[in-house]
Amino acid sequence: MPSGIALAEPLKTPSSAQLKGMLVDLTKCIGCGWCQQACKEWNDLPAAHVDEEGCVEVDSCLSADTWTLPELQEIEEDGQHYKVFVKKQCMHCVDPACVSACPVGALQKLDSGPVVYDCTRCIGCRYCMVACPFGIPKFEWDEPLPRIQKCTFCADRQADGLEPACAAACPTGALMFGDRDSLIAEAESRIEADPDGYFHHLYGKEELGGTSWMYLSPVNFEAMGFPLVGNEPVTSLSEAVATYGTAGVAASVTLLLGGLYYWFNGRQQEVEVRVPISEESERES
Amino acid sequence: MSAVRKNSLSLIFVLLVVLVAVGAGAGIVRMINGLGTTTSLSDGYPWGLWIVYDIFFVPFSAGAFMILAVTHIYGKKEYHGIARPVVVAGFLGEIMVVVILLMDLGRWHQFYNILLPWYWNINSFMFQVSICLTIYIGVMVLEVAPAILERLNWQKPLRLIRMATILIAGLGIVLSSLHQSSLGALFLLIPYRLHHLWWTPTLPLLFFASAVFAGLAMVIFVVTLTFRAFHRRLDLGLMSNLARVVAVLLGVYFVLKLGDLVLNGEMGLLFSSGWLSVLFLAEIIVGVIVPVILFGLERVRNTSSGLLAGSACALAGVALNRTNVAIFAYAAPDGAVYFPHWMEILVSVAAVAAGVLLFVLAVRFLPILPEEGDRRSVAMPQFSRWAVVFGGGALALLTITMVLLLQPSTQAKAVRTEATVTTSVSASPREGQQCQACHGDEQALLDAGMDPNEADLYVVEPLPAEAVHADIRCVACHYGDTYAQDVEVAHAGTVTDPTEGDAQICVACHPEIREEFPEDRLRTPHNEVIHGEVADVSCSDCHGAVGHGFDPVSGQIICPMGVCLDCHQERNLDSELSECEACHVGAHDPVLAYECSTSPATNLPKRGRRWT
Repeated sequence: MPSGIALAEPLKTPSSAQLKGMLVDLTKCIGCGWCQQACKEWNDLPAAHVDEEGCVEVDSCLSADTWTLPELQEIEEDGQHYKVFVKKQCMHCVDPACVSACPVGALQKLDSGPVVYDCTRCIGCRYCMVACPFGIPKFEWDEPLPRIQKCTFCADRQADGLEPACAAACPTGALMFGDRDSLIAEAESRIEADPDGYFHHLYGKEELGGTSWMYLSPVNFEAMGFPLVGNEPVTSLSEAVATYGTAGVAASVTLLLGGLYYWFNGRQQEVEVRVPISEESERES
Repeated sequence: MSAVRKNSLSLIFVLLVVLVAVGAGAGIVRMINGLGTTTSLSDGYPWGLWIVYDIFFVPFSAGAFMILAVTHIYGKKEYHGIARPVVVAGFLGEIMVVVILLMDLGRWHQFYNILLPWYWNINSFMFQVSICLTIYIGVMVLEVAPAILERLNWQKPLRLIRMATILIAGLGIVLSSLHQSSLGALFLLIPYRLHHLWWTPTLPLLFFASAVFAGLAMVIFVVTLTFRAFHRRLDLGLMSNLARVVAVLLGVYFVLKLGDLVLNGEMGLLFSSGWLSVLFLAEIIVGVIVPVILFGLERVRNTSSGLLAGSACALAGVALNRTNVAIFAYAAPDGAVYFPHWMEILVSVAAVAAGVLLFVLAVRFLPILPEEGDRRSVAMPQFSRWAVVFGGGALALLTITMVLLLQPSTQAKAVRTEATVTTSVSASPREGQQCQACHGDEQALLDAGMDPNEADLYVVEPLPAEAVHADIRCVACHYGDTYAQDVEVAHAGTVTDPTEGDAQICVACHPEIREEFPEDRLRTPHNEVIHGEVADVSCSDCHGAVGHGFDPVSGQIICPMGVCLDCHQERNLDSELSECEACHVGAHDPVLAYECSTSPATNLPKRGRRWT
């Protein structure tokens, strides 16, 4: 029975309620680097820098082996000196440019939010690295057959109902994991509760169509190196052109060619086409 | 035939072959060792010279589709004589683009994924470019095939292809239009990373428009040069007509490009972008204005030198434009620099040389140039069979030598820095020898009848002699009998974690444990914990397998803050015990905390999956 078949199929209706997110409250980050340690531990990434005393230092830039870090920003604003640690990692955009860019679907956006990578598909063209507005995907340059590496939003932990390793490790509560919608509400209530303590903007709520990771900050975001971007996803123009532009170009060039061909060759066509055919048939016969 | 000309051509021929051999060596080394050591590419500049090569030589090769359009669609039969060399040059150009593209792919071993329909992402212009390029090359094979079939005198397939000529040409033109414009569309995704002198929603149109004039300029350039080199009489009138069309197309491109800036309200960028303004102007002046002037002057476009100069300028302009888009106008992060590695240059040069070489060979062996006069007058280098054999051998040797020379010096530096601190369990090498007999390796444990699921947990690595606990026997803490031969007897009364529920085993040697570490501004209430005032906390809960290799006192590892916090949270201790001040005493600020994170105190446990 057709209706039975229809009922047996699971209904998949992705809703924004499923979308997980992370709220980063930069007023609470003390830059201890535990998020990085936890990340490296969970993902079995090597500690890159060991000083002469044998101590592991906080890696100071993102790389294939370092997917997150607290970056110190010193900012003068309104005569005040701010030291803010900006936790950097993949933003897990709602409309990710990297996913749109990848020709072989090696990067995928999961329903719950994480943007994840599959090295068995990847051909290493690095278009994702170029396309990412935040410059997040990194390449294992020193490997003979390198992979793209970046924060996975601990998709594996999320699948087991755990929060991402960095959030589990954060000692100050600067990282808050939860449903994206409720995090937005939480962020707004934090700004409301302490209007002097926060810059009144939740970065990532609407930027580039929204990101899973959202930031609260004591100072304006541009000063801290956040890219100044609009609310339109970068993918919308490219994907519209990919769909309509490509079809349009193919159709119009074909039509144009046909038209031109007819225009230039129309009158002689009968003569020219017939001559070789008759010649050939003569030869064959 | 003058010996001088013949020798100089032979010299060029040999030079090309050597360049190809050397570049092939470098290419093989790159394939073996990866991109890190053989290119200057980095996370800051993921794309470099090879991408520029590709996005320049694709429009360069557009000459093929332009000449197809002129001869088949526009129906200008007089251009038939020059169509073949142009189609062959365009074909070879695209082939070399594919070679460089493969060279550039980090994971070249699975390049075929792009051809697997179940992986396709049709929203990706990288996909569209690749798939168009693939089909286009297939179509070009059909375009080039007649020359080869004629030479082989295979009439049947030849007739089939002839019948489909117009369809093949049409398909080629459509595909070419698509992949020229989708090359520009690649950059639509990066409005925030590409400078707005170049980024515009009309990038695909601009790339297409520039491919159209670049294609015709390539026709002029290749034909003029080839006919000159092979002593064919060139109908300058034809070329001059093409040059006039190029001038018009350049004018159209100029209007599109500047009109786009005006309409987007970004004319100001032309004067306010520093050296990028200069690059933009250079592109316009060298690539558009100069060739328009050259091709606008009848006197100039009627000479082969004038044709060469004008078309070379137009092509240089396109090359600069593509370099600007891919590298100069791309906003790399602060501190990132890119200048092509010499191996990148070597490989690119080799690709051009290979293209030229194959073209020369094609002209020599296939009916590509119009037959006229004495074929001998073509100053093709003539080599004896032995010269070819020895030369070929020498070149193969050269390639292999290149590989062997470069291979070791560019081997991937992928020796990952291992974390220095190991939390694996280790034990005394001397006193514990009896225990080591079984606990030294997994197989011995299995032989002794250990549960295979647990055996690896009970492997104990020997403790280095300088370790604090190295001189203490296993049994001192774990009990049991170190000299017993029988397994049962040896393990009578042993405990796996000696400190569990009883701190005495540690306190025996460490009677005074400090409550405060002023140098670290840290308060740790050991006495409350170990004397049982606070619920069951064992020494090992915080200090782990302290007896087996790491030393809390020297700072190699101490109890990390997460252990305290996890525990406090688990036990729902009141909030004051979760505040920083509960343990951290004295002055504290974020910068100090940052420095602290690099100090021995935060030398956290590495590896393993602790954050569960």
